[in-house]
Amino acid sequence: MTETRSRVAGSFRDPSGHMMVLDDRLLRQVNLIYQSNYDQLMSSGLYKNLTEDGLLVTHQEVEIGDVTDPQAYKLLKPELIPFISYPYEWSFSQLKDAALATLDIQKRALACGMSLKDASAYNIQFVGCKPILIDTLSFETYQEGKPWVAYRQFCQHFLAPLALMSLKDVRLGLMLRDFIDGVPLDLTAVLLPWRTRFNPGLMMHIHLHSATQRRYTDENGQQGEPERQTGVSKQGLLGIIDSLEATVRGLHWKPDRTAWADYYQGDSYTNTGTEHKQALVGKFLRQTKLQKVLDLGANTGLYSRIAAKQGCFTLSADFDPGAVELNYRQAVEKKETNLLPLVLDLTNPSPSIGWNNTERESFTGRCHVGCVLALALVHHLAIANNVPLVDIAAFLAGLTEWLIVEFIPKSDPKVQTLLSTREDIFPTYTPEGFEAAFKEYFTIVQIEPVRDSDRRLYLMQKREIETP
Amino acid sequence: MQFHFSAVLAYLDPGSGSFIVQILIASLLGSALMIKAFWRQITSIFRRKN
Repeated sequence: MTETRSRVAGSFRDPSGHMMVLDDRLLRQVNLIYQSNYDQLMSSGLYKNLTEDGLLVTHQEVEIGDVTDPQAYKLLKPELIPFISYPYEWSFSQLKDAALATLDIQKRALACGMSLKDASAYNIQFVGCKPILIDTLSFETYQEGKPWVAYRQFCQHFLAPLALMSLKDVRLGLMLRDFIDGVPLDLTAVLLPWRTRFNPGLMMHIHLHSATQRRYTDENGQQGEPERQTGVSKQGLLGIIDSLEATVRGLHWKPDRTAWADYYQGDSYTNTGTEHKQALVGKFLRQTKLQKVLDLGANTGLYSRIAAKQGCFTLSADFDPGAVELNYRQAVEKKETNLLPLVLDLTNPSPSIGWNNTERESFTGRCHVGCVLALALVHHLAIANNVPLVDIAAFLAGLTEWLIVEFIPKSDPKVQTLLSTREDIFPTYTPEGFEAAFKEYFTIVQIEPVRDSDRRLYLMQKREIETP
Repeated sequence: MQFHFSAVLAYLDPGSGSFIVQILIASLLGSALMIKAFWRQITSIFRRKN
């Protein structure tokens, strides 16, 4: 049998090793150059300490015979993460929890004579609602006197976006999509309100940090040589970590209540209608018997939780950062293990970014689920964003095998609101037009009217489309 | 002048400015942490007594 092997596109920066797909298995190669650090991670008790508390992904060492690379030292089979999400898809508290987990890991590493050599937000993923470090090769032996090599990266990936989201506008979290190595500190310093200079943590880690970067960068944009050589004691380093932690903990954001409050109560359903819709969604989901569900337009996750309670790992996506924030807080509070809230604007989903446009994959490239829930969604895409119904069907067919979709007719107050300020240019937006468009990609398995409304819920299965 | 630390695995550019700022703030924050820990010990004695 021939071996099929490919390096994961985003795994190229660190010479310590890389991720690869080998005969359909996702593996991590550890290189000989990293040998002493890897051995220290495993023997110092740090690996055990972190994995027992769910802060580091577990792995098994596998037979290296499969790999012919002379640089290879070990081959690891890491625990798989249900869905790889990116920091620009996280709500404020998700990014904050990821930042605090990174600092917690760094403190534990220092206690074991090691230090994080990077602090990338992309190295943190969510298992359940718990942030976990997925890069086993992020540790290096701590050298007394050495400043924290990942300090700049921590400030750019975590502190800067959190400060901007908290103190300026939560939507600035999306800057992480444009700045793949975190928000530059000089830009952060300009955007933050002037009063943040009186916040000791932000003064030091953003404003002074940015000014010092400028001072030691020459006209060609190269970092200049420092004028004097001195080090940072371990106590000093612990002080910096403690200060970063206090600064991050001091940042807060509360969703604007007007945007989401009582949404479910105000979604033009009667209680009977809501209960009936929930029952129908539950029934349809049981029929599909699937493992992975994507709820699009999930709001605060009412219907996502029906799927999650049936044992499906559920991605609960919404464009409103406030709704996602509340969804995440609820999931944390209830210690939900198979629900992941995400910020996602369906009219402009996360693109492929980074080197060669392949370093961080697009949302649609990462997301292949058994079932999509598209409840109270189609009218937003079709009427508010003018997307033809057939294009919506094609998009959904690219994500899923099964579809639970709601059609809300023009007579419904929600659609009336959308049409009240604009001309009705949607003659095919009718139940018949909707069914005809979706039949191009799906087979309609079942149609159920929702009680006390004109709405309909459909269970659909993707059609095998013959290619000429 | 150079920093003399092992750079074998330093694939990340830490930035000289980011090193310097740590040197500038380390003593202050290190002392602050020590005082904080000391203060916690003091208050924990009283808490235990209560």
